[in-house]
Amino acid sequence: MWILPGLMLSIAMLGCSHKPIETSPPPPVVVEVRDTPPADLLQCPTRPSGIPAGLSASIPAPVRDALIDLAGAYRSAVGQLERLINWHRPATPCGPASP
Amino acid sequence: MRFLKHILQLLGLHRSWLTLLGLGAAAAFFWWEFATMRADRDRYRQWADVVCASAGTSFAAAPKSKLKAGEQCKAEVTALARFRSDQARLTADLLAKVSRERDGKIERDLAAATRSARAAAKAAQDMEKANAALEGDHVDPAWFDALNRHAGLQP
Repeated sequence: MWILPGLMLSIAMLGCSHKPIETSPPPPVVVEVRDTPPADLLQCPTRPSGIPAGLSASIPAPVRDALIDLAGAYRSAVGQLERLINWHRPATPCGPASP
Repeated sequence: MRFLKHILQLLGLHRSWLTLLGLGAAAAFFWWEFATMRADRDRYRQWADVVCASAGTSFAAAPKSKLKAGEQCKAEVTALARFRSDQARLTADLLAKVSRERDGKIERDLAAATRSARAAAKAAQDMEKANAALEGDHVDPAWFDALNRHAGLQP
């Protein structure tokens, strides 16, 4: 017998409930800017297998020195590139596995 | 004593005038108080209008709004203050996170660079030894081996 008046009262009381006032400021947003290079620049360099084992040859000293210089330059260039790639993509590093 | 009596007598004689004077003074005082209060109120109301306009709303309640005057303005100002503090906190959090990540990167890079520099120095030393061990221009497999390692190629 009191159900209907109670229901009506509860519906009427809904109008009295405190509603939050709508305001204009948007929710704050922060975005991290990641300046990652394109994916093809982040591919690990493939190392060639080099000179086959068990070979002998006759090579004059100037050519040998040039070959040694080329080999050293290749190593340092590849090492620098791998460091650069690992800087931008630390999750899957290139190069020889850490000891 | 006689002098005091004389003064009291004088006051009794001019009592009505003195009462009127007192009432006038009280009225002037209240008028001045009221004028000051009204000027203050107008100034504060103007100040409230300026603050609310800066917050992008008005002090007066919008027509057909159930809110009282100033309620919307107060909510806007509160929301703006919250926005500012939230934004500053989020920015500081992100900067701290990026800074931590960068520190880790620098550490890992330094370790990797040290490792590879050590390996390169060892290979260069071996190469030098192999080159010095040659007799004439005849190059043996050990020399090619050293060259491959010096270039950091696959073994």
